[in-house]
Amino acid sequence: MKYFLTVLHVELMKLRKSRVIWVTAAAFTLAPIMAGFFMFVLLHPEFAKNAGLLGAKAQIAGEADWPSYLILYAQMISVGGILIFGFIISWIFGREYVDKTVRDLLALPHSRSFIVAAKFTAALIVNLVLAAYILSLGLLMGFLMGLPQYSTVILYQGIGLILTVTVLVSILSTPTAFLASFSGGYLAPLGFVVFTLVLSQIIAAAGFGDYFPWSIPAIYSGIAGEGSHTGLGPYPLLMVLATGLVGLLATFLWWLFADHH
Amino acid sequence: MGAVIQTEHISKNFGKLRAVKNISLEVDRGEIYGLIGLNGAGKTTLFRMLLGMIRPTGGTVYINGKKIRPGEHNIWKDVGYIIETPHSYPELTVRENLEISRRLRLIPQQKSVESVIHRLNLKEHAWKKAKHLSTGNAQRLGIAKAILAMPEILILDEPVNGLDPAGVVEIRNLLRELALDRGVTILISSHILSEMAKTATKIGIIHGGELLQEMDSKKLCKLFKSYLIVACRDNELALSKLASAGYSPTLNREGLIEIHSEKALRKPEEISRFLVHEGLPPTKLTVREEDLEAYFLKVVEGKEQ
Repeated sequence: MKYFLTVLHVELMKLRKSRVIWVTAAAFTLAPIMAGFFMFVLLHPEFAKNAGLLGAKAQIAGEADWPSYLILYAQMISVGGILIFGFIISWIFGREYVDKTVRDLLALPHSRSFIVAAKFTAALIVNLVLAAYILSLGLLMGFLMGLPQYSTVILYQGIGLILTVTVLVSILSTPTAFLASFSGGYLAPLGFVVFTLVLSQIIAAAGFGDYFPWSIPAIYSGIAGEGSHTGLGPYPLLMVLATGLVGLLATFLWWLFADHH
Repeated sequence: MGAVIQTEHISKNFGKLRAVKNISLEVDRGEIYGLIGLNGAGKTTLFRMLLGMIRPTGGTVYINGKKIRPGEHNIWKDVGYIIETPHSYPELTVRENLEISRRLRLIPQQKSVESVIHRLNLKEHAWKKAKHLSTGNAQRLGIAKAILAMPEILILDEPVNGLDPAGVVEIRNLLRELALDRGVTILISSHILSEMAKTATKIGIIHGGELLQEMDSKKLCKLFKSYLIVACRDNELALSKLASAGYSPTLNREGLIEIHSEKALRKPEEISRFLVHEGLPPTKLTVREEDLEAYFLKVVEGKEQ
């Protein structure tokens, strides 16, 4: 456990010093700004009228109240998170190969599984911090706009939903880590992330989202319509967990047993 | 006492390519074993197998008597290494990169980082990001990471690449000090053969994945042959005159006359006298000694033929 914490500390230090992570966080800042803008438009119909088409688009967000606002955040993480979290995990694993620093991690006095576990944990921590960051920004904007229907129950439910979606999307990013390790870089995993994101939208739109793991967080977050976020059924949840487990195992096995050139 | 580094009939195939063929070598405590070979000879593949980064197709590797296999990570406590050009985290400073190595290798003494910075003359670069280091200083940082834990074994693939002449001498002295004074066992590869001849106590020649020859550095000099180099105004005519006098001369690639006969080497003045007598006074007459480079090329060419 002590060594795991040491490696985790090292991983977080590398992330903190990396410009890529800060740029990603800055890009993700667009999400609360966009959500805030939608709510602002809904709260001020006269502005929507003047804005024309923009006002019509803003109707996608539903009602301008706290429950809709928080659900919108969960939906943004369920779709944008596949891209952003996928990018983060591609970076965490792929950069070791691109920078050729992986050699320094292969003959250490402890099992390589500590390195892999620490990298996954660091990715999860970053994902949760990013989710918390955009949520904090969102809450601040929500209060500033004076959104109606605020209650601590609604706030906790919203935070619970966002947390669940963040964890689900994080679980689904494990195959990306394997691809980064297998391909020795971050281009292949990024291609995979974009491909799964596009496919998740098409499959969900076709009505088969429950059968495609990367569509499940979005469906759970209620993207398919009001009231669809009623819970995560056992089979979709199992599918997400199985996908995560396959990615996790493949990455561990690769680091432990594959030839590292 | 057994060898510190030992391979037994080790081989590695990549598909149809046989990168390393049946190599058995031993490196004893305090020895500096220099492995020389052309690019693609199999040096790095061999080093990677020694470090457990790739698994041999056949054969076994032992470090400190322990067989290398997945899960035997305790072995690496005593091993410092460089594989090809050392790389560091570009956005981290020299000190931060070393601090990461210290933590990952569980070295309790925090001052070990300062000590290695001082030892490798990196003090004025300590706060520089690794991406801003010159090739030579990046190499120094790689060596610093390798010796940070004061390991008993060093496996160094081309450690003096990119260093300036003063840096090469500095690292040679450091390695010799570690081996001779502290008993560190060093396996090193380099393509700078003259440097290897000065650093290593034992030399192995690897070519086409095979270990062609191993020799003690002290005995190595005895293997180097001496020969006479002669030049005249008319080398063709001098060659035929020397041949008829029984000296068995040959023309080398540079168009100069080479004489390997014992008789000529013992009394080169006889050659001079003979050529003057024949009306072909020599414009050049020197005794040349083979160096490791020439010897290496001869061994490699001999294998290819």
